[in-house]
Formats: sequence, structure tokens, C-alpha cells
Amino acid sequence: MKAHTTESLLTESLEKLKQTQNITAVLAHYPDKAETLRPLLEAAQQAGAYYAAVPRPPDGLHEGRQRALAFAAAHRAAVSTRHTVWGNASRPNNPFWKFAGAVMVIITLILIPLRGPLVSAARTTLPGNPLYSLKLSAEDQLFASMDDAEAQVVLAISLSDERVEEVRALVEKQQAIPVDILYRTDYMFRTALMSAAWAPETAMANMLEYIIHHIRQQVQQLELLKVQATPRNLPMLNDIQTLCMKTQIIAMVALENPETFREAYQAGTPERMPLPSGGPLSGVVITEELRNLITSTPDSSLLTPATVPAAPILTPTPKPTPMGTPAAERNF
Amino acid sequence: MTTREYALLKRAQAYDEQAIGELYDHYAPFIYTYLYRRVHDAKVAEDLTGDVFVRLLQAIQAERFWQTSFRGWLYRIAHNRLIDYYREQARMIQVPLEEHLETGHEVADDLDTLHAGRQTFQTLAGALDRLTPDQQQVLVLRFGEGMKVHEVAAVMDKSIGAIEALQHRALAALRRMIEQGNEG
Repeated sequence: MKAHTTESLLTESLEKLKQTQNITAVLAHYPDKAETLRPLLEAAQQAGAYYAAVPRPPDGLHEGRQRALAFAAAHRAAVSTRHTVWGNASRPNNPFWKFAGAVMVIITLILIPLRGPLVSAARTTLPGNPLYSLKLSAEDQLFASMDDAEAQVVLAISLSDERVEEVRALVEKQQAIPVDILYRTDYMFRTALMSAAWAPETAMANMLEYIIHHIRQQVQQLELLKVQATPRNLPMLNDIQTLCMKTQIIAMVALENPETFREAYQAGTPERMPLPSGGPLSGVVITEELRNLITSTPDSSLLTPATVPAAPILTPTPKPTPMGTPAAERNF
Repeated sequence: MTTREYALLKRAQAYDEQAIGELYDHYAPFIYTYLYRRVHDAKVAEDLTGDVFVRLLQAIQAERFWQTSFRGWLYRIAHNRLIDYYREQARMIQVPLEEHLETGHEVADDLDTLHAGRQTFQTLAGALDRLTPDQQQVLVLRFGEGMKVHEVAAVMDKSIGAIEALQHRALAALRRMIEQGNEG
């Protein structure tokens, strides 16, 4: 146990050195071990002197502070949103409550078939995990079991929320966001719009409001995530956010042009929608002006957790509007 | 841990912006210093410091260790982030000696002293760089951060005996390499 004794003595003598800063004075306590301890204490002093030289942080640690605060804001918002959605039954204008029945059906459907331990475990997995495909498969089964348009819209949007949640988890873990999430989200959005197009007129307006409301929150959440995202994740974050914005724009235009929307989507030709750029869906360019319009409306529950959206940003207009009228221009 | 610090941490757990700001302002300089001593790159150390605090906010919801030793827990998060960083880099970062010397706290008055100082730093930097990551970690925490052996043990998740043995081997190796460097 000689080695252990030397090691303990070294620790003890280092503590003394920290107080006195005088090697000779410290070694006076250990005359028998002085020869062994002296070079070690000298090395410790040299290491201490070397470590004392630390440059100031180039950015004054501001960027890290902003990232930490943005992370906290995003989580506060997420918690607040969860509380907001379930805690405001008295708010008739919240689009969520227009679909309360459909939501309950979906929750039941989710809970019943996904009770198995393997599937339950899969529900929290992320892309890259072997169980992830099981999670997507369970989602597909849910879709297949549903023929009600309202329920399909709610399910599609809630699953797009799940994709955004996966993006959040991947960003926080600093893992790459796979392009599959973008495609899957796109599929959810197209399904939601398609389902809305087949709904009765009044229900369709409510669905479009619901889509707009939810996607706006997703856009804001993705914006907050950019602060903490690694550079390699930023392009994919931007792509997903742009997809959200495009879908939101389509839903907003659809509210103004319900008949055109219905005709275009029921015919399976969404590119016929009169979008702001006048071109097909893929041609929509998210300008700074559009971005501001989409993200800076009073309905900013994610950014200001205390507030709750009281009304959709556009009032549905039941009167059919001819395709290509300035209605779209008015809103963009 | 003081009552005030505990209250601050509880508020941070609820993502209170002011509390997180206070925690960051107090601890970030320490974490940055520690990380710089390991990676020898100010920008990288600064980026990693931000990562550590984001990880802290993630972990503070689930873990309870911070309630007994927040400082130790924070350094442990930083330690784990460093391990990930090294994995990402797949190799140790070389010491940018010029930066180290130019921005050090002590500035030599004359050229001879400066030259001697450069040689000493060069020898030390080379010697420290050749230690194992665990040995470097122990030296940084002990002689850079001024931690006690039991605190280092908590950060590195090792026993006190293991840390004392690591410390002994690290100092012996450092001494040997410095002597070899001076002879060469």
C-alpha cells in the first residue's frame, strides 16, 4: 500500500501548497518523502501557472446566454401552449374547440391501439432509432382507420406537431434532422388541406382556421429553435419552416377563395390555387414581408405565453370568390 | 448550496428567464475558463459553454444531483460535453501557443524573460498535451479550477482513490516530460 500512501500524502501536501505557495515549507512536514514529493509539487505549480493564462471569450459569452434564454423561452412556451389548449374551454373562438369531438376520437384511437409496450416505447423515439419506423407505421394505421374529414385534419396537424417536436428534440441533442421529417410533414399538411377541401362549407372554414392557428405556432417554435441549432441543422430547419409558411399561406388564401380551393384540391390539382406569387405551390417565395405577416400577428401565444389567441387571423368568407381576384393580393 | 442559490435553481427549473440569466452570468465565466483550459481555443470554449447551459436546462428537469452539489453537477455536464466534443473531433486539439501567450495574464517585461517564458509555456503545453485525457482533466480541475479531490471525483464519476492515483501519475508524467523537454 506504499503507492496509496504516497498518493494520499501528495494530496495532503498539495492542499498545504495551495495555502502557503512555498514548496520548501510544505516539504518540511514530510522530511522522509521530500525527495519524492518535491518534483510533483513543482509540476503542480507549473501546471497551475500554465492554466492561469486564459483569454477573454471573443463574444463575451453573449451568444451562449442568448441560446440558454431562447431554449428556456421555447420550453416555457411549449408548457404554456399545452396549458392553454386544455385550459380554455370557455373560449369559443379557439379553433381547437371547434374540433373537440374529433380530438377526443383521435385521442381514443391513439390510446387504444398504441397500448402495447413496444409501441408505447416507439411513441417517444426519434428518427434513427429502430423503433421509429414502428411509430410511423402506427400513425399510418391511424390514418387508414379514419374516414371523417374533421378527424383527418386534426390527426394530420397533430402528427405534424409531432414532427416539429422531433425536430426540437434533435436540435437539442445536436443531432442531424433527416430530410424524411420534411417529407413526412409535407405529407401531413397536404393530407390536412385535402381533407379540408372535402368538408362541408362551414366546417371547411373552421378546419382552415385550425390549420392556420396550429401552423403559426409551429413556425414560431421553429424560429426559436434556430437560436440553439447547430449550423448543419439550420438549412433543414429553414426548409421545414418554409414548408409550414407555404401551407399557412395556402390555408389563408383558401379562406378567401373557398370555392377555388375546393375545386383545385378535389380535382387533385393544388397547383391551381391562386397563390401570392401567382405561380404553383413550389414557386411560393417566403419574402421577409410575408414572414413578418405570418409570424407577427397578435396570435403569438408561443412568444408571449400569457396570451391566448382569441380569433383566427382571417375571417372566413363564405361567399365564393372568383379565381384570380385581388382577394389574395389584399392579404399579402 | 445557499438558500438563495437553491431558490434560483428552482426558478431556473421553471425556465424563469431572470434566474437563468443570473445563473449564466455567475457560472458561465468559470465554465468557459475550464473549457478553454481543455480545448485551448477561445471560440470553441465559448460555443461549448453555451452548449453546457442548454444541457443544464434540459437536465435540470430530470436529474436531482444539482440539489446536493450544483457546481459539481455543472462541471460534470461540461465534462460530458467535452467528451462528446472530443469524439466529434476524433482527436485532441493542438495548443495554439501564440494565442495562449499573447493573451495570458502576465506579460514579460523584457525579451529574455519573454523568450524564457515562451520556452516554458511551449514545454508545458507539449507535456500537458501528451497526458491522457483523464490525466489532463484531473490537472485542470485540481490546479486550474482549484477543486478538492472529492469534488473532482464527483465531476469525473470516479472514486477519491482513483483521482489521487490519476493525479499522482499525471504529475509524475508531467514532471518527466518537462525534464525531457528541457534536456532536449
